[in-house]
Amino acid sequence: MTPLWRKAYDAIEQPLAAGSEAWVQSETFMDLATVGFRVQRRMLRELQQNTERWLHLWGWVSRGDVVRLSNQVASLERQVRELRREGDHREHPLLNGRSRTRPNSRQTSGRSAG
Amino acid sequence: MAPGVLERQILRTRNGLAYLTGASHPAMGQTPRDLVWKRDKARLWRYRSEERRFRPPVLIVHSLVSKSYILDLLPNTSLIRYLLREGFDIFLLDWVPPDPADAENTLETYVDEYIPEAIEALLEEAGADELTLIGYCFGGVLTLLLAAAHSELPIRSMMAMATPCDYREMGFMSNMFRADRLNPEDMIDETGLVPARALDEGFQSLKPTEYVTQRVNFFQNLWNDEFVEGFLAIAFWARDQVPFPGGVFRQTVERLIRRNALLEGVIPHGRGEVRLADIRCPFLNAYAAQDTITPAASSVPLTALVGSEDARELRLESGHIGFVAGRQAAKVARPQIREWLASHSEG
Repeated sequence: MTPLWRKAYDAIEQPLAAGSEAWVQSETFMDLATVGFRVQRRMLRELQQNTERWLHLWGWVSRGDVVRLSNQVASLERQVRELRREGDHREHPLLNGRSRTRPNSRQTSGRSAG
Repeated sequence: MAPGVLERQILRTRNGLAYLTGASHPAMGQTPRDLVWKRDKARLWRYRSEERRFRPPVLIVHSLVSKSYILDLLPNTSLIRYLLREGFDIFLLDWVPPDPADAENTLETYVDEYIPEAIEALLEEAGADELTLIGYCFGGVLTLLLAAAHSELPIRSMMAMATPCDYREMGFMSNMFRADRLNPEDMIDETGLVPARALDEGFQSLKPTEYVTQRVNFFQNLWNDEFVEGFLAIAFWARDQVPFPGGVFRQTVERLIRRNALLEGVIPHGRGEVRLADIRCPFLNAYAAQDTITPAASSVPLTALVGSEDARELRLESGHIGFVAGRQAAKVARPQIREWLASHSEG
């Protein structure tokens, strides 16, 4: 049996849920969310830039420096992967009689098969 | 027999204390398995089983937007454990959460490289010459592209579970990128990934009151050990989001959301395009009627878009997670999934 407190909660929540879900899907909400998102992102970026400038003034490492370093390592890792993949394809061009890369994607105009 | 009022209060206090002290964290993804292949962040697992009665083996390709233990959540609700017990040879292809090295991965990275290589490894490991393919959620999109792009792969039959097709029906998250409200670059951070937090917030926003209602449900059923265990497991998984590779995200927005290319049946791929009509193997489109992540209306058109003569659909009365991990799954979804798999296997 559903307790009274739960019935009361559902009586409030159900119309609220229906209303809020419809509101989230509305054009107005999405436009507002877009503006809110952009403002938040811009403020965060400016805060990060200012903090970074201030940290660099004192010769300290900022989050941006760590991210840049991490991206450089990631770029190296991607190059290693690519080299390894090319090596694998050269060593084993065919597996079980099937080509490794033989996608039957159709050509778009003027381009070679991918 | 349900416990009395006093007994419930005692159980509620006990479970509440366990929850508050963090002692009630359920163990998830416990079905024994072996890693049979690995490449970068892609991993192919084979689940151990003494009774593999059906052939060919089944490969489940997991989504890129969540962690795969949802398919093996708890022993009594695990989809994978159920299929193993029914005699299927189950492989799972999942992805270690991406880091900046994966930021430039594209759909082609998965569809033309990782998945075909994993399939080769699977066939070798299982000693099979064909397989059944299952794609869950965004994994379904990957398997659709795979089957359309690689007719040379020995896919005997395939199933798309909770797979989006019509992105106009995908709601808030999709609509934010249609009509140029947001651009992919707005979501991609300086590491080249879409942060897990952004995805989590996006999913939460679909049902704004859901978070509170879930807690109310939890409190109401706090006396029920089984409910508490299931609730905590699902709640943990739902918040345990992973970042999304920026390269795939750009393509998802441009191709799938703005062009709605899956619904058109012709999807740009590599330097050309692929057609869903080129999928000729038996196909099951399984979707959930109460799914808010991949609404049923988004999945429905798939059945008519593939070129298979044996294309069917399975509509289940559950939600996105309940589909694979809830009590509803155990009663209704799994037997029907099993039935379809068995009828397209030998054994």
